[in-house]
Amino acid sequence: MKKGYLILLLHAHLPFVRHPEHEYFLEENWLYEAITETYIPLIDAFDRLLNEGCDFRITMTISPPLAAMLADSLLQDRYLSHLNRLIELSGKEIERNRHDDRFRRLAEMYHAKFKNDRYVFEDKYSRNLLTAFKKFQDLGKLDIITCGATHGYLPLMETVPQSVRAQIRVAKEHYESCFGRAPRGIWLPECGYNPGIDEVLAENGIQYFFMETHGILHGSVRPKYGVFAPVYCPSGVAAFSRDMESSKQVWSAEEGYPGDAVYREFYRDIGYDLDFDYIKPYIHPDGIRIGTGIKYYGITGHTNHKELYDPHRAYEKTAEHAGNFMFNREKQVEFLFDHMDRKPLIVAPYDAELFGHWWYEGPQFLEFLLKKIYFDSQIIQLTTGWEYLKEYPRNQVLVPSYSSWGYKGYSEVWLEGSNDWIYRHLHEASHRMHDLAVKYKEVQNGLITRALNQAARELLLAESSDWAFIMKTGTMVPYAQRRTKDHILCFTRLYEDIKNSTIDEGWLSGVEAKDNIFPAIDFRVYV
Amino acid sequence: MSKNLEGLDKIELLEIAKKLRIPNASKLTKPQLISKIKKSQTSSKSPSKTKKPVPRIESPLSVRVRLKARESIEGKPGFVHPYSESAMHAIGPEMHPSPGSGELPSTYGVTKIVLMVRDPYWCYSYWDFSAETMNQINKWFKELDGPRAVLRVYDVTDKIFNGSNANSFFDVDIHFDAKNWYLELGRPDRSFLVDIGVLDKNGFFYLIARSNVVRTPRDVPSDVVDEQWMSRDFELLYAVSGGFKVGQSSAELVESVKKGILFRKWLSSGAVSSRS
Repeated sequence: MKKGYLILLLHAHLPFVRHPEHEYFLEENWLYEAITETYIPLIDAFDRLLNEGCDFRITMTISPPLAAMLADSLLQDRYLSHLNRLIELSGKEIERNRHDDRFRRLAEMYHAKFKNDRYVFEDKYSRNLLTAFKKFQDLGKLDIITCGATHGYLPLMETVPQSVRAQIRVAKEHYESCFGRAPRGIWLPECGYNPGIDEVLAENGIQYFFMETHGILHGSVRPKYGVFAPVYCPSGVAAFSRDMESSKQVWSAEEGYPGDAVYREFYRDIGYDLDFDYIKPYIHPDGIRIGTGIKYYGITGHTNHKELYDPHRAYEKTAEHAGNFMFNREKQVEFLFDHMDRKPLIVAPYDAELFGHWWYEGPQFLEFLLKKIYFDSQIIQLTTGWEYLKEYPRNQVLVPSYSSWGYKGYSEVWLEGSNDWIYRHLHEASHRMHDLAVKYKEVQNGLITRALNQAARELLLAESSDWAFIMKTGTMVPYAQRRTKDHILCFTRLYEDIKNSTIDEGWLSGVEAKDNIFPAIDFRVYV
Repeated sequence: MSKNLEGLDKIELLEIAKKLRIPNASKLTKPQLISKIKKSQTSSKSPSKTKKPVPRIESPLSVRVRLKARESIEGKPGFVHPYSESAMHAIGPEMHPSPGSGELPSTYGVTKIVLMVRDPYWCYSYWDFSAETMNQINKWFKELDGPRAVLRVYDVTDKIFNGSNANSFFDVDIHFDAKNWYLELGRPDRSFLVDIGVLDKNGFFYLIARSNVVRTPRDVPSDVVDEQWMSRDFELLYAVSGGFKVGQSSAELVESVKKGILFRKWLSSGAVSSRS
C-alpha cells in the first residue's frame, strides 16, 4: 500500500500579447519560446508516457490568456514562421560546423528538435496545442485548472468585488469553451488570496484552489495536518497549500537541480555569440541581439569558461535528479505517515516555463519523475486535487490567511513605488464598468452591446498582474506601462462613447480585432 | 584602463562590474572587485567573434521565469546562476515600435480615499478630490488656525465604526498633492480605516473623506485550536510544514526527533508561547 500522495502542479501562464498591427513584435516571442521550449516538450513527454502505459497524474494551469493565444490563428501562423526560421538557422548551423563534429552534432540535435516541433505543432495537433492538453485531460492523466481571466491579482481588488467576480466568471466560461467541461480547480493568480475570494469560487462551481504555505499555517484555526492535507474554507471550497521543501529542491541555490554543471547554459546563445552579419536575419529586425534558442554550452561552473554541452550526460543527470527528488519525497512521506491518521499529501507547484525554457532539461526530468513514481515507487502515488478530495471528502474547516507566493508572501511585489499608480485607474474603471453594466443590462442594441463587451475586455486586460510585475522587475517596463495605459484609455473612450451615444463603429471594430480575447464575453458579469 | 581602477570608489567599480556581467559583484570587497574586473577585462577579449558591439537584450520570458524563481523561495537566497546577478541589469534599449502616447488623467474629479493592504504591517492609501473639495481645502487652509493635512488612522477591530468608537487612532502628516501614502501600521490581524482631512491647531478635525475598512493579515499561527481536529502530532506536523521555521526539511526534523531536541527547540523559539 502506498503511504502518501504527491500533486505535481505546473502553472502555465503568459500575458495576452498579440499585436496584429506590427509585423514583428518582440514580446510575442514570450509565447513562441515557451511553445518550443516548454509546451511542446511537455506534450511530447506526456505522449511518450501514454505510449508506455504509464498512468501518470499531473496538474496544470493553462491560464485563459495563454489558452486564448494558443487557439489564436494569427499567433499560430506567426509561431510557425518563427519555427521555420529556427529550422533554417539550425540547418545553416550544421553546414557552418561541418568540420567540427562536436558542434555539428549539437546543431543536428536542434535541427531535429525543431523539425519535430513543427510536426507536433502543425501535423499532430493541427496548430492548436490546446487539443493536446485536452486529450491528456480527457484520458484522466492531466487535471487542467483555470486561473483568473487575465491573471489579475485578486487581493488588490478588495474594494471592487465586481472585478474579482468577473476575473473568475470569465475564466470559468472560457475554460468551458476550450476544454468542454467546467473547471474543478483553480490556481489563484500569484496564489493571491484574501478571505472571501473562496466564496466567488464557490459561486462558480470551483471546488478547490492552491495557496502559499502560510495561507493555511496562519489560518483562523491551527491546521491539524499542517500543509499535508487540504482544508475547507467556510464556503466549502478546498484549499491545498504548497510544500516548501519540494519547492526548494527544484528552485534553490544550494540544493536546486537546474544549476548542475552538466545542464545547458542559458546565457550562451548563438544570437549573442555569432558574427553579426550571419545571425542578423534571426535576431531582432533592428539589429538587436536576442536569444535564438540555439545554445552550445553547458553551465560548467561559476566561470566564464564554458564546456561544450553534452546532451547525453545531461540526460543521465535528469534521471539521477528525478530519482533523488522521488527519494526525498518518499522519505518525507514515510516520516509524515507515521504522524498522521491519513495519507499525507505533498503539493509541489512550479511555474511551467521553468521546465524547458529556463531549465532546458526540465521536461525530461519530469518525464523520468512521472515514470519512476508510477513504475517504481512503493511509497508515493501521484494524484490530483479532485481525486484526493474523492478519497478524503472530510477535512478541517478554517479561514485561510491573506497571502501570495510573491516575495515576502503578501502583496508588496504588485504594490510598491513602481506600480502603485495603476490602482486608482483600475479601480475607477472597475466602478465605471459596474455602473455601465447595471444601467445597460437590458440593452438590445447590437452596437452598444459590442461596445460594452469590448469595455469589459479592456478592463480585464488592464488588470493582468504581469504589468505590475514587470514594472517592479525593471525589464521591459515601458511596454508594461504602455499596456496598462492603453487598455485603460481604450476603456475610458468606450465608457464615454457609450454614455454619450457616440460609439464609432469603425474604431470599435479595430479595437475588437486587436484585443480579441474572450470573444463570447458578456459584460453583464459586472452587474 | 585597469591602471585607474584603484582610484575609483566602490559604486563606480560596481558600475563597471555590472557592464562586465560579474556575478554577485555587490557582495565583493573593493580589492576583490578590482581583481575580478581585471580578470574579466582580459578574458572577455577572447571568445566573442563579434566585430563591433551590438546592442543585445535578454529574453523577456527568461526574466519573468528567473525572477519568479527568486521570489518563490521566501526568505531564502534566490536561484544563483553564474550570470544571474548581472543579467538582471542586462537590459537592452527599449524597442517598441510606435508606442502610444496617451496619458491617463491625473484626477477623476471625485472625492474619495481608498485603503489597501500590502502585508501584515503596511497599508497603502490613495485619494482623489473633486474641484469643490479642492476649493474647500483652500478655504480651510486660509481660514483655520495652523492647519495640517493629515490621515487619521483608526483601529476599528471588532467595531462597527460610528466616528467615535475606535479602539485607538493616530494622525499622519501628509501632503495632499502626493495623492497616495504608505502607512506603517505594524499591527497584524487588526481592522483599520482612515479619514483624510485637515487638523487645526486646536485639535479640530475637518473630514474630507473616509476610506473602506481593511483587515491586516495574521503573521503568526492562530491561537485557536480546533479540538475535533486535535492530535498528538499536531505540533510536529505544523513544524514540518514550515510553521515554526520556514524551510526546515523533514530530514533535519527526523534527526531532531531522534535526538529529542525538537520540542525544546520549538518551545524556545517563542512561536508556541501562546500554548505553553
